[in-house]
Amino acid sequence: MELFDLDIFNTLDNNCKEDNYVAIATMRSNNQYYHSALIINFLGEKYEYHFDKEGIKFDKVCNIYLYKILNVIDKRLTPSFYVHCKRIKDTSNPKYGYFYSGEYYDKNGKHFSENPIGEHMTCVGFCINVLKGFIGKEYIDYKDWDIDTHNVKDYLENFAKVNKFKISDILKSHRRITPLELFTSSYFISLPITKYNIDSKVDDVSIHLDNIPL
Amino acid sequence: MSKDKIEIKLSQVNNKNVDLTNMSIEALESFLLVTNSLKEIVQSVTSKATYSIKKGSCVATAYAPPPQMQIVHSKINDGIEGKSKDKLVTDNLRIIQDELKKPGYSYKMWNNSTQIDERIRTANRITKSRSRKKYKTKIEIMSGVFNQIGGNTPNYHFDFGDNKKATIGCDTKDVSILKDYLYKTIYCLVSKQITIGNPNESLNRHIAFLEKNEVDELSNTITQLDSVTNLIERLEFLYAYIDNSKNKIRDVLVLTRLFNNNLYDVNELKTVLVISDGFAQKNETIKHYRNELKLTFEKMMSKV
Repeated sequence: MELFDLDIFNTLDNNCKEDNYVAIATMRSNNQYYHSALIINFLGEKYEYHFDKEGIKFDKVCNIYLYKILNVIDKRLTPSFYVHCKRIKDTSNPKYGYFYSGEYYDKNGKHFSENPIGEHMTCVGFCINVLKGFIGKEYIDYKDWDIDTHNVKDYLENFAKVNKFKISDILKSHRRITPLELFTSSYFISLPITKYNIDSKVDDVSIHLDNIPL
Repeated sequence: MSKDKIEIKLSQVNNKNVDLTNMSIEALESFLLVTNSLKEIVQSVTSKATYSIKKGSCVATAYAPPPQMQIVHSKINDGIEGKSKDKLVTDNLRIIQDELKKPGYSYKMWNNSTQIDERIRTANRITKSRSRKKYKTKIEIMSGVFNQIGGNTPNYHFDFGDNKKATIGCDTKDVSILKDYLYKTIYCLVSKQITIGNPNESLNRHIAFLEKNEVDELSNTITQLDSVTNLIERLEFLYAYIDNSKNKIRDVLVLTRLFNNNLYDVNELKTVLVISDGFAQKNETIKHYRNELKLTFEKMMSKV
């Protein structure tokens, strides 16, 4: 279990000596992991790639993240992943919401969706979409998470009202995969990663993350 | 005449001493393998060698005059460093390497008095170094009267007049389209593989049939793709090519066939796979060529 420490790096120091990789990153505040991002280390530069209420951001790292290198993306493919991310930023326009309906971005950055709610997602959903579009198959078994994972009173009703959706159309997409859960997924290589996989490691990951001073 | 030597010794297997008069079957098999491989390597260099197997531990030694043994040492050194083009040496050295690395087997090996077993153990898996032939790819639009289809590997022939001809490799799907164009002028996008240093040596691979009115526009695009060397720019070009395409199905097909070539960077193949994924789900022909591209990609990725 101690081995987890060795795999988690932070963007404040230069301890990670690897070059060319994609990593899952998380932002922490008061031991809450409230945001997910992808970090791309390429040609000696570190980039942060993420989505929040203001839109998609792709810059040289300017925030403090804890991150772990993803093993499901071969290091040799970092260049094509970098361009894939750039494409999505240039050509797509997701909206924020606590939904994930198994969509992904295809070659035009076009949101490939069978479901109008598909364009709504969180920072976590965005990362999953980007990964899935590149890997070519499901990264996470998102259906393992259901409406109980986002039990915020009246959220669904209010969202439907404001955005003019019918609740019945969006109910099955209503879910929340947390940044901590996404971070934990980086310890698995067999896809799709299930909630069972993540539940088995998330507490340990949380403890190790909490213990890293920033 | 003084002799130089190469020697290999097996002293223990699984913490038990081995001796020529008392060996387990595993120890014997292993020792026979390394002795035979040692002999093969030495024999390939010189017929002036003599051999000895000593009792008290298991020691196999080959002796030869210094000039010849120097060559043996040097070939073994090349093999360890991954520079050897000699298949016999590398095949046999790899056998020795496998035995030296066997857990529980205490082997030592010497070139004269220099111990080399640890170097062999820690070296990369010993294999023949790849041929030095280098190739480059070029995309061309060719046109002419095509006058022949056939061959054991499907191909067709162009006749440009003036006794200038070209053979283009294709597949059976192409041949069934080609049949209708026999003796007519056709325009084709072709991927050429040119041997660097030998410009007359080139292999042509059919990518797509073109209409006459497509040729000029495509010509520009092609020259661009061939001239951009920066990898990121090339990848962005691939996306832009499909974005700007007036015939996306045909152009995605072009990319899936063109990049099915291990001379391209693996990132280019991956990008084409990403681009073509959605299209392949709706078009059987793209699906077919995309699967072939995927196989080439996976093969390239599996080579460390």
